[in-house]
Amino acid sequence: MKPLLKLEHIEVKFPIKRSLLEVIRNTPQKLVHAVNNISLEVAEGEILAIVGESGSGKTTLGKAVNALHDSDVVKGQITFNGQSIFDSKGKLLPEYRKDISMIFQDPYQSLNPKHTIEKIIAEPLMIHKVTKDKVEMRNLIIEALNHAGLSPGESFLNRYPHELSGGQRQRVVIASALVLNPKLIIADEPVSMLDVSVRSDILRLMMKLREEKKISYLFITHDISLAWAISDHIAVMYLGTMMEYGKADEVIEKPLNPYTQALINVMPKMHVRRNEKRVLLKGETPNPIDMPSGCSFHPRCPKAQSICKNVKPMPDWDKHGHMNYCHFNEEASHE
Amino acid sequence: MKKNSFIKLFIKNKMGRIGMIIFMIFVMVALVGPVIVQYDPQDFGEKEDVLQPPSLTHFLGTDDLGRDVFKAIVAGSRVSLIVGIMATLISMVIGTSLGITSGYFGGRIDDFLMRLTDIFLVLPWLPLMLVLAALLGASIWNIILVIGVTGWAGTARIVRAQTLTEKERQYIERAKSIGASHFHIIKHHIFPNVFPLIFANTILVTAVSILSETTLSFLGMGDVSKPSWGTTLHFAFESGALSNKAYWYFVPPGLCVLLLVLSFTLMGFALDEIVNPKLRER
Repeated sequence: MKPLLKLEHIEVKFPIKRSLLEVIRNTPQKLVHAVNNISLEVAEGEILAIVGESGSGKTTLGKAVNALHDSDVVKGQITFNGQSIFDSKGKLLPEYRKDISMIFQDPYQSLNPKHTIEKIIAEPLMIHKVTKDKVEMRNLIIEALNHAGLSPGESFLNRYPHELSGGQRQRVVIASALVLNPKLIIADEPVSMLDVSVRSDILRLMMKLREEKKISYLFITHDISLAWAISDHIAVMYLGTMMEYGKADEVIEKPLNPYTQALINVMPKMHVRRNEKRVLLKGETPNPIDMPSGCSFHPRCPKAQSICKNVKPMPDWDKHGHMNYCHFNEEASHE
Repeated sequence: MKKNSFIKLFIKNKMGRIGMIIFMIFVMVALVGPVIVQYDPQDFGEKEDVLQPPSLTHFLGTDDLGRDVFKAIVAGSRVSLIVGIMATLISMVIGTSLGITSGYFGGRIDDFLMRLTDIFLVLPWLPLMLVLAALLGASIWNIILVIGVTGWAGTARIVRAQTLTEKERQYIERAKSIGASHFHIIKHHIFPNVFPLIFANTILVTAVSILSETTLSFLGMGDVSKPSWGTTLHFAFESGALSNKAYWYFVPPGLCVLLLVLSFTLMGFALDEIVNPKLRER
């Protein structure tokens, strides 16, 4: 399958504002290393899950793909459909915004409380001047609502967000993401704010849309079991670095990276063997301003040796397309 | 908030109700009054008409030139209201556009506009208005301009603060990810959400504008051909109505200014309570 979205060496660094004294003393500009050298591919109709703790840079990466950052903090190449998303002058191609959509985490915050559902879903159509005909526009809106599982769509047009439940609001968000027929949807924790009972409905809806419309997803989540359940590939991020990448089943069943192993270790299980020792991570994610030297995971890694402190590991790709970012790569898993 | 419940809340509020009634009375007087009672500032009375106390022919007595004080006040209500409202409109337009621009774009633009606002905030406004009014000459439009141009700084600050909180909302980010232009975001998301605050602020600024107009006119910067309450007070002071104990000359215009400003302040407080749910009585 040809890649729909290709990220090459994406880096996002936010400068920290210096105080006047620091400017006078000419102390070096400090940077928050939110995303470090990430390369990824999303094929057509594929779901790629990006997993990581809070502060791992997964949302920042999602926003970088969505071109929501200032252009000077993002480095690297983003290719969509074989074409760079920026033209030679560094301006975003206008079609790109039509081809991608974003679903946000909090359906209570992502809808303007002063707009009706009709106005909210009409907004992308208005911005991209899809149609001027009011009847046609209304039909498109109703169709999107029906697709998102809010049927009959007509009955929702004149309602306000506060009249809807959390699940319904997230469906409105999905409807407004669908209305332009995007090829890629960036879903940033789309179900983490929803009730458990509603979660599966929303996930099932997203899966159905993938089948029907061949939409690819970049699915950002902190929940590795959720990523396992829905995605084709999983990328595990820690402190802005990609620690492991591979097919979802492989990453979960045969995790290579100590960090992934620790994440999987804390997943709830049906049968817990009494004598099994769980490897729990100690401490918190370090500050991304003063990045640890060498491997960024070494201060918390149970397997850390002196080499981890001093030398950055190289991403190690095996022939199955499984990547591990670690000095101690156990190759034994693919016999 | 729906429009219906907004009006209901306003009428339920005691301060809002009283303020509204006083304001409506003045609006009626300003609209209908000058049609019924004609007032000509050139129409000087006879010698025996000078500084007469209230009587049946002269409802509120006469001034030092034998003119009817009641007629002057009715005519002045229109001038005071027009100047107050127009000047407020000017300062609201300036304050809102600068506040939203500053808060939304941030960075250097914000720095520059806020320093400008600071200058206007710390400048002693009365001398500034006097200088400007004297430079531009005494006409009602110049007065409006002077009050409007000097009175926007507070509004700009408030609007900027609200814009700063609005622009961080997720639906703004959603609009950006769709590809909305800055203009679209400001028009459809920022402004409608900042508007209630602007509206509440408008009422309070109107009170200040009316007071400023009175001050300028009292100090003799007003348009003599279109006398406002401030102009009447000015002539009362000039002619020594205070030492002559001609209370009918200076008390009514003063009282009118007081009541009108009070009505705006009451309405402003009521709106503030409605816009800020934290202040709302339960």
